[in-house]
Amino acid sequence: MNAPAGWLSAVRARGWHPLPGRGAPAGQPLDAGDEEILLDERTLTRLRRLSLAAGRARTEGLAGEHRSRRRGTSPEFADFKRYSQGDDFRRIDWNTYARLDGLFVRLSEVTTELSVHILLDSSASMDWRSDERWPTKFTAARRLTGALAYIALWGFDRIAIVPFADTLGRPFGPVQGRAQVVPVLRHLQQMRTLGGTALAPVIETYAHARSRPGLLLLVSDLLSGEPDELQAALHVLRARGWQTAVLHIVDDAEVAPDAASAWLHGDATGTGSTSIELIDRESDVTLRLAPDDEVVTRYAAAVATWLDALEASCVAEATAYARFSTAWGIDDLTVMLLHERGIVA
Amino acid sequence: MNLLTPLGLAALAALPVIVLFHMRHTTPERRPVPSLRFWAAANPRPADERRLRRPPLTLPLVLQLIAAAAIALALARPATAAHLAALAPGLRSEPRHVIVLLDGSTSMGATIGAGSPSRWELARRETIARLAPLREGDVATLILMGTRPVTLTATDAASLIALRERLATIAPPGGRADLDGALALAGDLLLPNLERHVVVISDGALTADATTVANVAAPVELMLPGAASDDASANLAVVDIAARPSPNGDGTVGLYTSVMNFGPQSVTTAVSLLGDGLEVGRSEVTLAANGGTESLRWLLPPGVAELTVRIEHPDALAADDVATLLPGEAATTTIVPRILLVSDLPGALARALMAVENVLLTIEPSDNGIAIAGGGHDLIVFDRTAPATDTLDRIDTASLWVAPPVGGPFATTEGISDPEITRVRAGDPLLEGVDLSGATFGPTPVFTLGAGDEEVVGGADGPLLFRSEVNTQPALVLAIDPEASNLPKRVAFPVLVANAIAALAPDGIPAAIPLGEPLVYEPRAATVAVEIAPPAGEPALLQVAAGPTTQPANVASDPVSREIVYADTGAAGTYTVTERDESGRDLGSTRFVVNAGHPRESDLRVNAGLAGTLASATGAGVTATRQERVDLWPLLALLALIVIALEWAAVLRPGTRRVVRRLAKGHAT
Repeated sequence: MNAPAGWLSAVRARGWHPLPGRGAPAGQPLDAGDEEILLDERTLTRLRRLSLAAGRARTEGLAGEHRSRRRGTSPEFADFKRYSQGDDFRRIDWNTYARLDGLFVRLSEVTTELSVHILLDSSASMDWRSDERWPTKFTAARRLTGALAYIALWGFDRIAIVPFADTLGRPFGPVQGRAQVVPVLRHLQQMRTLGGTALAPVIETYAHARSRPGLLLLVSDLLSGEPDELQAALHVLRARGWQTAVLHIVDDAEVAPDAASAWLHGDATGTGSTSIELIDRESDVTLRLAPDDEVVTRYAAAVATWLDALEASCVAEATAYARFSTAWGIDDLTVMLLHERGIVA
Repeated sequence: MNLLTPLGLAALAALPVIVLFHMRHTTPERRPVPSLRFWAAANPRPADERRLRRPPLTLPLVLQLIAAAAIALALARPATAAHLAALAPGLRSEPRHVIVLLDGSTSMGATIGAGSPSRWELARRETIARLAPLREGDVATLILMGTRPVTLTATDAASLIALRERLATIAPPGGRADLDGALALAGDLLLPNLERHVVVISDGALTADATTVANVAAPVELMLPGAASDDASANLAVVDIAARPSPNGDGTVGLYTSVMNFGPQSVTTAVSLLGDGLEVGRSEVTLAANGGTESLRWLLPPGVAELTVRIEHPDALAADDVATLLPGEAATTTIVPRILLVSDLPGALARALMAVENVLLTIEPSDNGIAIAGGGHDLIVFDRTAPATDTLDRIDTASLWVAPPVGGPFATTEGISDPEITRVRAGDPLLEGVDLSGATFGPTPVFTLGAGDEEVVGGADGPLLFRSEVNTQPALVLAIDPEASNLPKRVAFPVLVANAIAALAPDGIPAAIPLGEPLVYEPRAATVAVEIAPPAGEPALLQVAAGPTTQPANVASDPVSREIVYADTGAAGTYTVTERDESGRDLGSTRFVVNAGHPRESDLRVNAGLAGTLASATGAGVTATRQERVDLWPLLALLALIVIALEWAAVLRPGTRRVVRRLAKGHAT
């Protein structure tokens, strides 16, 4: 977990721990069962103070709360300008005319909404967890998606949630308005994983299918293709004017050597298996290996290289990258990471 | 340290098997992962290509090897020397069967000196000491040697304790010890598959047959806890006592007794005669050494109930210094006989029978065959009559026939005579006090003596009074008819009848029996229980068998013969026998005497050849002296169990699993 290492270590140094039961807010759902509430009321209350950072994403409309360079007719005063032909005669400030003997028009501030697209990885690889105490990656991804959708809807942004695996799934939205919070969360709760993953093609397909770019949040474990392919897809998005953020969902056993070693040796019988057979969730391909430390070391090295490449690809395409552990939940740590990476404000 | 079953070490072959199991790749556990891309890159050598791996030095493997080794060693049964027994209290190598032959004869009552314990006490202590080391799994058999050997067996810890407790209070049976019989019994009792040992604990005054000893398949050890030198074993004994009529024919009765010296020195001592506790005679005798014998004779004083001969010289065994005799008058039968008089016309004979004291008399007519053949009588008297043949055949008791009819069970010849007495069997008890002079007998059939018949009084033509047998039972025939004779008017007739009753219906109890010999006799017909009171101790109540019923242990009774066998005659002194009928009424009592003096048992000197004879037991050559060892297999088995429990805990507990992995990791690095 290279990205949040600095501030995360600082937080942990103060005795705060993101794991449930050791500092996590009470009432936060810990398990990842299908029937659980993804986000509780307390979490939602805290999320209301946040808004999605539009960045260079183009805003439009008037319903949102994002400030626009455009000036309009809202009650909020912004500036004066000399009257010119064509201005709305009704916005002439007559008091100023009486005092300065010149015609000035009152300009008001315009707020716009943001079009948010959340690509939610629903591949089979997301339906996995190393420990019964933590949710699956898919549940963690849905929880994070729900949090971001809530932030967007509460700020009157327009959102669309699009599941994908090897192809794009049926999208939910675009919807707008706070009344859509419950339907969105219910939809997330009912989502199921689909199958294999084709991440880069799906991103490119989605980018080409949308004429108006917006903020695209990619929530995935990124276990598809190479970082180069991801970078190419991000480049397409960037070229078409999309503001993109990659939210990488990982299980600790996938990326942390100690956790990977513990999971590998944590057999059920306790008799110390001489070999285990790993099954790919998506392809059902099996691999038999001897769970020794040498394997774990090589695995950890490969994963670290891959993570570094992913992050470098995102940086190269000016894309925010944030890695979330399934053990975290939607807590202060997550919010801080989102804020640090410029995804929320 | 020895291995009792070295073959058990073959179980060590399990060790490489266990190692192979740990080297083997087991069926892998299947686990899903999100993606194999990194695992495939990290696993250049697929696990299934290797059938075996390097032996993992894991805690379970080490514990399993320790447990298997401990079990293998336990199977080999290592045993260590006895001085290491403190390491494993209660453990011993192999069970043993110890048979102790404890001499309980009368000679064991001898003491070495004044105030010292008797040989029996010393032997009992030695026996308890020999049984003390025995533990669970051992078998102990105690054969108490007396006239009749008594066997006690203990097969577990509780019964061993019970046996020791019983031994602490048991009394010596007395009598003469039959070592040969005890050795033969021990040879039969020896259990297979046990270490066997026979111990003879005695004073050494025993003899053993070499053939019998050779047949004992175990080493025979002789212990002589009370043995002493010949001087200390010097003993005088009254070995015989009897009362007989004087051969002079003067009508006096003499008391004859024999005194022996079993010491190495000749002894001059006084021998006194006590009559009912008062000294009535005294003699000085000099007894030669090593078995010198002197016979003494006194005139039996009349009217004395009990005579005692006593040697006035202290020695090792006091019991045989005294001998007691109950003279004939004193030992008069007082147990009432039941007599059946068969008479169609009771007359003089019936009156004579009624005049006899202590007689239960029943009179039945001659046609009452059921009463005659029904049993339950000690004597049947036929008065001038004879039963039918079928009834006669069923008579199973003694009978007195007075004037039996011609054609009866006794053969006669033609002719009736008026006999005169021409022959008398002198000294016959039947004629004691009977004066037949002047008696006339009237017409009398002439009887013919059969084979085995014995004439007591005879006339010119044939016997007048003779002994015979009916159905193998004794019978007495008085040929004369009392009703036609003047005999009933004379005092001789009731005396003759009384003598006949005494001869035909005795109580069966001898006046004296040798020490340790069983009393065997048949009680009265009406007796259902016999109580025998020894000189000291509780009386024994013996049930008389009336049929095939269960008898007490100390009764060996033939249901047909109704014999009583009383074997506890190891104590010298006077025994009182009392018989009771069905209603519990006493039928009378009598006494008999057991004297301790015996030519062999009173000899307290150690048999010098006994040890050599016992050493010839066949088991002595094949079974060496046992080396006490401590069997360690239970400790090893316990160790194996503990290790297995630790192995389970190490495997099943998550905390210890981490330790196991850490150890494995350390081994791998």
